Amino acid sequence: MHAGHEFWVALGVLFTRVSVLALISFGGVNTVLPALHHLAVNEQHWMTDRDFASLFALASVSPGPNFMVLTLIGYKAAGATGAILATCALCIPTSLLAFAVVKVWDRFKTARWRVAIQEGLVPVTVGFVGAAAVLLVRASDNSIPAYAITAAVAVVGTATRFNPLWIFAISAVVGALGWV
Amino acid sequence: MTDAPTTREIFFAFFRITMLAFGGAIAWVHRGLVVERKWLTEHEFAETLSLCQFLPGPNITNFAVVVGMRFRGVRGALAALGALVVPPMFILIAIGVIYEHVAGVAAVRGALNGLSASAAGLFVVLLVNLMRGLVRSRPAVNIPVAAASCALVLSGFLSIPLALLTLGPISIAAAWFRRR
Repeated sequence: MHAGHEFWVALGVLFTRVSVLALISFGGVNTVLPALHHLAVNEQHWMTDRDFASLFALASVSPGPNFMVLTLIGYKAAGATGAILATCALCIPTSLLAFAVVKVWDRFKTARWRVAIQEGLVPVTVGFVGAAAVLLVRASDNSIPAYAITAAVAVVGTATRFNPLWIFAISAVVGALGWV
Repeated sequence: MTDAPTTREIFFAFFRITMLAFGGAIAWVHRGLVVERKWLTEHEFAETLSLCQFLPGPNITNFAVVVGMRFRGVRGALAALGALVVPPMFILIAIGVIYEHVAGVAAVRGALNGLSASAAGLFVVLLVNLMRGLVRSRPAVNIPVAAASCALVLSGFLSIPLALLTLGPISIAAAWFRRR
Protein backbone atom coordinates (compact mmCIF):
# COMPACT_ATOMS: atom_id res chain seq x y z
CA MET A 1 0.00 0.00 0.00
CA HIS A 2 1.49 3.31 -1.10
CA ALA A 3 0.76 5.57 1.84
CA GLY A 4 1.24 9.04 0.39
CA HIS A 5 -0.14 12.25 1.84
CA GLU A 6 -3.12 12.22 -0.54
CA PHE A 7 -4.12 8.74 0.58
CA TRP A 8 -4.39 9.76 4.25
CA VAL A 9 -6.30 12.92 3.35
CA ALA A 10 -8.75 10.85 1.30
CA LEU A 11 -9.25 8.44 4.22
CA GLY A 12 -9.88 11.30 6.65
CA VAL A 13 -12.34 13.06 4.34
CA LEU A 14 -14.13 9.76 3.60
CA PHE A 15 -14.59 8.84 7.21
CA THR A 16 -15.75 12.21 8.53
CA ARG A 17 -18.02 13.12 5.62
CA VAL A 18 -19.59 9.68 5.23
CA SER A 19 -20.33 9.28 8.94
CA VAL A 20 -21.94 12.74 9.13
CA LEU A 21 -24.03 12.07 6.01
CA ALA A 22 -25.01 8.64 7.38
CA LEU A 23 -26.34 10.23 10.57
CA ILE A 24 -28.58 12.62 8.64
CA SER A 25 -29.73 10.07 6.02
CA PHE A 26 -33.37 9.94 7.15
CA GLY A 27 -35.08 7.53 4.78
CA GLY A 28 -31.89 5.77 3.74
CA VAL A 29 -28.71 6.46 1.82
CA ASN A 30 -30.60 7.35 -1.39
CA THR A 31 -31.65 10.60 0.27
CA VAL A 32 -28.02 11.74 0.67
CA LEU A 33 -26.93 10.54 -2.77
CA PRO A 34 -26.71 14.13 -4.14
CA ALA A 35 -24.26 15.00 -1.36
CA LEU A 36 -22.19 11.85 -2.04
CA HIS A 37 -22.13 12.71 -5.74
CA HIS A 38 -21.00 16.25 -4.97
CA LEU A 39 -18.29 14.98 -2.60
CA ALA A 40 -16.89 12.32 -4.94
CA VAL A 41 -17.18 14.07 -8.32
CA ASN A 42 -17.19 17.86 -7.91
CA GLU A 43 -15.32 18.42 -4.68
CA GLN A 44 -12.70 15.67 -4.23
CA HIS A 45 -12.42 14.59 -7.89
CA TRP A 46 -12.19 10.93 -6.92
CA MET A 47 -14.06 10.01 -10.11
CA THR A 48 -15.88 11.35 -13.16
CA ASP A 49 -19.63 11.71 -13.47
CA ARG A 50 -19.61 8.63 -15.71
CA ASP A 51 -17.67 6.58 -13.10
CA PHE A 52 -20.26 7.56 -10.50
CA ALA A 53 -23.08 6.32 -12.73
CA SER A 54 -21.20 3.08 -13.48
CA LEU A 55 -20.42 2.37 -9.82
CA PHE A 56 -24.03 3.04 -8.85
CA ALA A 57 -25.16 0.58 -11.55
CA LEU A 58 -22.62 -2.06 -10.45
CA ALA A 59 -23.79 -1.78 -6.83
CA SER A 60 -27.41 -2.17 -7.97
CA VAL A 61 -26.69 -5.45 -9.78
CA SER A 62 -24.33 -6.92 -7.15
CA PRO A 63 -25.34 -8.94 -4.08
CA GLY A 64 -25.89 -6.83 -0.99
CA PRO A 65 -28.01 -3.78 -0.27
CA ASN A 66 -27.84 -0.95 -2.84
CA PHE A 67 -26.40 1.52 -0.34
CA MET A 68 -23.13 -0.36 -0.76
CA VAL A 69 -22.33 1.92 -3.69
CA LEU A 70 -20.48 3.63 -0.82
CA THR A 71 -18.04 0.70 -0.67
CA LEU A 72 -17.21 1.30 -4.34
CA ILE A 73 -16.89 5.08 -3.80
CA GLY A 74 -14.49 4.32 -0.94
CA TYR A 75 -12.52 1.96 -3.17
CA LYS A 76 -12.18 4.59 -5.89
CA ALA A 77 -11.09 7.19 -3.31
CA ALA A 78 -8.52 5.16 -1.38
CA GLY A 79 -8.35 1.52 -2.48
CA ALA A 80 -9.45 -1.45 -0.36
CA THR A 81 -8.75 0.50 2.86
CA GLY A 82 -11.05 3.24 1.64
CA ALA A 83 -13.74 0.70 0.76
CA ILE A 84 -13.70 -0.84 4.25
CA LEU A 85 -13.50 2.58 5.93
CA ALA A 86 -16.44 4.00 3.95
CA THR A 87 -18.56 0.94 4.77
CA CYS A 88 -17.70 1.24 8.49
CA ALA A 89 -18.33 5.00 8.49
CA LEU A 90 -21.81 4.30 7.17
CA CYS A 91 -22.75 1.33 9.37
CA ILE A 92 -21.11 1.91 12.73
CA PRO A 93 -22.46 5.35 13.79
CA THR A 94 -25.99 4.57 12.58
CA SER A 95 -25.96 1.13 14.22
CA LEU A 96 -24.83 2.61 17.54
CA LEU A 97 -27.68 5.08 17.31
CA ALA A 98 -30.18 2.29 16.52
CA PHE A 99 -28.75 0.36 19.46
CA ALA A 100 -29.36 3.32 21.79
CA VAL A 101 -32.82 4.25 20.49
CA VAL A 102 -34.30 0.73 20.50
CA LYS A 103 -34.11 0.67 24.30
CA VAL A 104 -36.22 3.79 24.73
CA TRP A 105 -38.41 3.37 21.64
CA ASP A 106 -41.46 2.03 23.49
CA ARG A 107 -41.54 5.12 25.67
CA PHE A 108 -42.04 7.56 22.80
CA LYS A 109 -43.12 5.61 19.74
CA THR A 110 -46.65 7.06 19.90
CA ALA A 111 -45.58 10.53 21.08
CA ARG A 112 -46.92 13.36 18.94
CA TRP A 113 -43.52 15.01 18.47
CA ARG A 114 -42.01 11.75 17.25
CA VAL A 115 -44.73 11.14 14.67
CA ALA A 116 -44.51 14.77 13.55
CA ILE A 117 -40.73 14.52 13.05
CA GLN A 118 -41.06 11.35 11.03
CA GLU A 119 -43.94 12.62 8.87
CA GLY A 120 -42.39 16.07 8.44
CA LEU A 121 -39.04 14.76 7.21
CA VAL A 122 -40.58 12.61 4.47
CA PRO A 123 -41.36 15.34 1.89
CA VAL A 124 -37.98 17.01 2.43
CA THR A 125 -36.12 13.75 1.83
CA VAL A 126 -38.30 12.79 -1.15
CA GLY A 127 -37.06 16.07 -2.67
CA PHE A 128 -33.48 14.85 -2.14
CA VAL A 129 -34.30 11.57 -3.89
CA GLY A 130 -35.71 13.66 -6.75
CA ALA A 131 -32.44 15.60 -6.98
CA ALA A 132 -30.53 12.28 -6.95
CA ALA A 133 -32.68 10.96 -9.79
CA VAL A 134 -31.88 14.02 -11.92
CA LEU A 135 -28.15 13.70 -11.18
CA LEU A 136 -28.15 9.98 -12.00
CA VAL A 137 -30.05 10.41 -15.27
CA ARG A 138 -27.72 13.27 -16.22
CA ALA A 139 -24.62 11.19 -15.43
CA SER A 140 -25.91 8.02 -17.12
CA ASP A 141 -27.60 9.20 -20.25
CA ASN A 142 -25.53 10.83 -22.98
CA SER A 143 -27.30 9.36 -26.00
CA ILE A 144 -30.81 8.78 -27.28
CA PRO A 145 -30.62 4.98 -26.77
CA ALA A 146 -29.55 5.57 -23.15
CA TYR A 147 -32.56 7.83 -22.52
CA ALA A 148 -34.76 5.21 -24.17
CA ILE A 149 -33.45 2.48 -21.81
CA THR A 150 -34.00 4.69 -18.73
CA ALA A 151 -37.52 5.49 -19.90
CA ALA A 152 -38.26 1.81 -20.63
CA VAL A 153 -37.20 0.69 -17.13
CA ALA A 154 -39.12 3.58 -15.55
CA VAL A 155 -42.33 2.77 -17.44
CA VAL A 156 -42.11 -1.01 -16.95
CA GLY A 157 -41.28 -0.54 -13.26
CA THR A 158 -44.07 1.91 -12.48
CA ALA A 159 -46.91 0.93 -14.81
CA THR A 160 -46.64 -2.87 -15.07
CA ARG A 161 -46.06 -5.77 -12.71
CA PHE A 162 -43.21 -7.13 -14.84
CA ASN A 163 -39.84 -7.18 -13.18
CA PRO A 164 -37.78 -4.51 -15.00
CA LEU A 165 -34.55 -6.34 -14.18
CA TRP A 166 -34.45 -8.27 -17.46
CA ILE A 167 -34.03 -4.90 -19.19
CA PHE A 168 -30.73 -4.63 -17.26
CA ALA A 169 -29.37 -7.69 -19.04
CA ILE A 170 -30.55 -6.54 -22.46
CA SER A 171 -29.18 -3.03 -21.89
CA ALA A 172 -25.74 -4.42 -20.96
CA VAL A 173 -25.61 -6.51 -24.14
CA VAL A 174 -26.83 -3.65 -26.33
CA GLY A 175 -24.27 -1.41 -24.67
CA ALA A 176 -21.41 -3.88 -25.18
CA LEU A 177 -22.24 -3.91 -28.90
CA GLY A 178 -21.59 -0.16 -28.87
CA TRP A 179 -25.13 1.05 -29.43
CA VAL A 180 -25.64 3.11 -26.27
CA MET B 1 -37.19 -16.13 25.05
CA THR B 2 -35.91 -19.67 25.20
CA ASP B 3 -36.77 -20.56 21.62
CA ALA B 4 -35.20 -17.42 20.16
CA PRO B 5 -32.92 -18.11 17.17
CA THR B 6 -29.25 -18.61 17.98
CA THR B 7 -26.54 -16.17 16.92
CA ARG B 8 -25.53 -18.64 14.23
CA GLU B 9 -29.08 -18.87 12.86
CA ILE B 10 -29.32 -15.07 12.85
CA PHE B 11 -26.05 -14.88 10.91
CA PHE B 12 -27.18 -17.31 8.23
CA ALA B 13 -30.64 -15.73 7.89
CA PHE B 14 -29.11 -12.30 7.18
CA PHE B 15 -26.40 -13.81 4.99
CA ARG B 16 -29.08 -15.33 2.78
CA ILE B 17 -31.03 -12.06 2.71
CA THR B 18 -28.00 -10.02 1.65
CA MET B 19 -27.04 -12.46 -1.11
CA LEU B 20 -30.56 -12.37 -2.56
CA ALA B 21 -31.14 -8.65 -1.98
CA PHE B 22 -31.76 -7.13 -5.36
CA GLY B 23 -33.87 -4.06 -5.81
CA GLY B 24 -35.00 -3.39 -2.25
CA ALA B 25 -33.63 -5.54 0.55
CA ILE B 26 -36.55 -4.92 2.93
CA ALA B 27 -38.82 -7.15 0.82
CA TRP B 28 -36.32 -9.97 1.31
CA VAL B 29 -36.18 -9.37 5.06
CA HIS B 30 -39.96 -9.73 5.19
CA ARG B 31 -39.81 -12.94 3.21
CA GLY B 32 -36.88 -14.40 5.18
CA LEU B 33 -37.91 -13.47 8.72
CA VAL B 34 -41.72 -13.34 8.60
CA VAL B 35 -42.83 -15.76 5.87
CA GLU B 36 -40.11 -18.42 5.91
CA ARG B 37 -38.68 -18.49 9.44
CA LYS B 38 -41.61 -16.99 11.35
CA TRP B 39 -39.26 -15.20 13.75
CA LEU B 40 -41.45 -12.08 13.57
CA THR B 41 -45.20 -11.65 13.15
CA GLU B 42 -46.55 -9.23 10.54
CA HIS B 43 -47.28 -6.79 13.35
CA GLU B 44 -43.77 -7.03 14.82
CA PHE B 45 -42.30 -6.56 11.35
CA ALA B 46 -44.34 -3.40 10.71
CA GLU B 47 -43.52 -2.06 14.16
CA THR B 48 -39.78 -2.69 13.72
CA LEU B 49 -39.82 -1.18 10.24
CA SER B 50 -41.37 2.05 11.50
CA LEU B 51 -38.60 2.33 14.10
CA CYS B 52 -35.98 1.73 11.37
CA GLN B 53 -37.57 4.34 9.12
CA PHE B 54 -37.51 6.87 11.96
CA LEU B 55 -33.77 6.34 12.44
CA PRO B 56 -31.21 7.75 9.99
CA GLY B 57 -29.15 5.30 7.94
CA PRO B 58 -30.12 2.33 5.80
CA ASN B 59 -33.39 0.75 6.98
CA ILE B 60 -31.89 -2.67 6.41
CA THR B 61 -28.83 -2.23 8.69
CA ASN B 62 -31.05 -0.70 11.36
CA PHE B 63 -33.37 -3.69 11.00
CA ALA B 64 -30.46 -6.10 11.42
CA VAL B 65 -29.29 -4.34 14.60
CA VAL B 66 -32.77 -4.18 16.13
CA VAL B 67 -33.72 -7.79 15.34
CA GLY B 68 -30.32 -9.17 16.33
CA MET B 69 -30.46 -7.28 19.62
CA ARG B 70 -33.99 -8.42 20.39
CA PHE B 71 -33.06 -12.11 20.04
CA ARG B 72 -29.45 -12.35 21.23
CA GLY B 73 -28.32 -8.95 22.51
CA VAL B 74 -25.12 -7.35 21.27
CA ARG B 75 -23.79 -10.62 19.82
CA GLY B 76 -26.98 -11.11 17.84
CA ALA B 77 -26.79 -7.54 16.50
CA LEU B 78 -23.18 -8.04 15.45
CA ALA B 79 -23.99 -11.37 13.77
CA ALA B 80 -26.89 -9.85 11.80
CA LEU B 81 -25.02 -6.70 10.78
CA GLY B 82 -21.82 -8.59 9.96
CA ALA B 83 -23.64 -11.11 7.77
CA LEU B 84 -25.46 -8.33 5.99
CA VAL B 85 -22.51 -6.09 5.22
CA VAL B 86 -19.19 -7.95 5.27
CA PRO B 87 -19.67 -10.59 2.51
CA PRO B 88 -21.02 -8.09 -0.07
CA MET B 89 -18.29 -5.64 0.95
CA PHE B 90 -15.62 -8.10 -0.20
CA ILE B 91 -17.55 -8.85 -3.40
CA LEU B 92 -17.75 -5.11 -4.13
CA ILE B 93 -14.03 -4.62 -3.44
CA ALA B 94 -13.37 -7.37 -6.02
CA ILE B 95 -15.68 -5.57 -8.44
CA GLY B 96 -13.81 -2.32 -7.74
CA VAL B 97 -10.48 -4.01 -8.57
CA ILE B 98 -11.87 -5.46 -11.81
CA TYR B 99 -13.48 -2.10 -12.70
CA GLU B 100 -10.13 -0.30 -12.44
CA HIS B 101 -8.58 -2.80 -14.86
CA VAL B 102 -11.28 -3.12 -17.50
CA ALA B 103 -13.10 0.24 -17.43
CA GLY B 104 -11.04 1.36 -20.46
CA VAL B 105 -12.11 -1.56 -22.67
CA ALA B 106 -14.63 -0.33 -25.25
CA ALA B 107 -17.09 -3.22 -24.88
CA VAL B 108 -17.04 -2.91 -21.06
CA ARG B 109 -17.55 0.86 -21.27
CA GLY B 110 -20.51 0.21 -23.52
CA ALA B 111 -22.01 -2.46 -21.27
CA LEU B 112 -21.65 -0.11 -18.29
CA ASN B 113 -23.35 2.67 -20.26
CA GLY B 114 -26.29 0.33 -20.83
CA LEU B 115 -26.37 -0.81 -17.20
CA SER B 116 -26.15 2.79 -15.90
CA ALA B 117 -29.10 3.81 -18.05
CA SER B 118 -31.12 0.90 -16.59
CA ALA B 119 -30.07 1.66 -13.01
CA ALA B 120 -31.08 5.31 -13.47
CA GLY B 121 -34.46 4.06 -14.67
CA LEU B 122 -34.90 1.88 -11.59
CA PHE B 123 -34.09 4.90 -9.42
CA VAL B 124 -36.83 6.85 -11.22
CA VAL B 125 -39.23 4.00 -10.31
CA LEU B 126 -38.26 4.44 -6.65
CA LEU B 127 -38.89 8.19 -6.91
CA VAL B 128 -42.30 7.68 -8.53
CA ASN B 129 -43.33 5.27 -5.76
CA LEU B 130 -42.26 7.80 -3.10
CA MET B 131 -44.20 10.56 -4.88
CA ARG B 132 -47.31 8.42 -5.05
CA GLY B 133 -47.10 8.11 -1.26
CA LEU B 134 -46.74 11.89 -0.91
CA VAL B 135 -49.74 12.61 -3.14
CA ARG B 136 -51.85 10.21 -1.10
CA SER B 137 -50.92 11.83 2.22
CA ARG B 138 -51.11 15.64 2.18
CA PRO B 139 -50.41 17.18 -1.24
CA ALA B 140 -51.13 20.76 -0.15
CA VAL B 141 -48.10 20.87 2.15
CA ASN B 142 -45.95 17.98 1.00
CA ILE B 143 -45.61 18.62 -2.71
CA PRO B 144 -44.31 22.22 -2.40
CA VAL B 145 -41.86 21.15 0.32
CA ALA B 146 -40.55 18.26 -1.80
CA ALA B 147 -40.28 20.48 -4.88
CA ALA B 148 -38.43 23.16 -2.89
CA SER B 149 -35.96 20.73 -1.36
CA CYS B 150 -35.29 19.14 -4.77
CA ALA B 151 -34.73 22.51 -6.47
CA LEU B 152 -32.58 23.97 -3.67
CA VAL B 153 -30.28 20.94 -3.55
CA LEU B 154 -30.07 20.51 -7.31
CA SER B 155 -29.21 24.17 -7.92
CA GLY B 156 -26.45 23.94 -5.32
CA PHE B 157 -28.09 26.76 -3.36
CA LEU B 158 -28.35 24.58 -0.23
CA SER B 159 -26.40 21.49 0.78
CA ILE B 160 -28.38 18.53 2.11
CA PRO B 161 -27.58 19.28 5.80
CA LEU B 162 -28.66 22.93 5.35
CA ALA B 163 -31.81 21.95 3.47
CA LEU B 164 -32.73 19.60 6.34
CA LEU B 165 -32.12 22.37 8.88
CA THR B 166 -34.23 24.95 7.05
CA LEU B 167 -37.07 23.00 5.38
CA GLY B 168 -37.14 20.26 8.04
CA PRO B 169 -38.53 22.43 10.89
CA ILE B 170 -41.16 24.00 8.58
CA SER B 171 -42.36 20.62 7.39
CA ILE B 172 -42.26 19.10 10.91
CA ALA B 173 -44.28 22.04 12.24
CA ALA B 174 -46.85 21.49 9.48
CA ALA B 175 -47.07 17.80 10.43
CA TRP B 176 -47.40 18.73 14.12
CA PHE B 177 -50.32 21.14 13.64
CA ARG B 178 -52.03 18.81 11.19
CA ARG B 179 -52.23 16.15 13.93
CA ARG B 180 -54.01 18.32 16.45
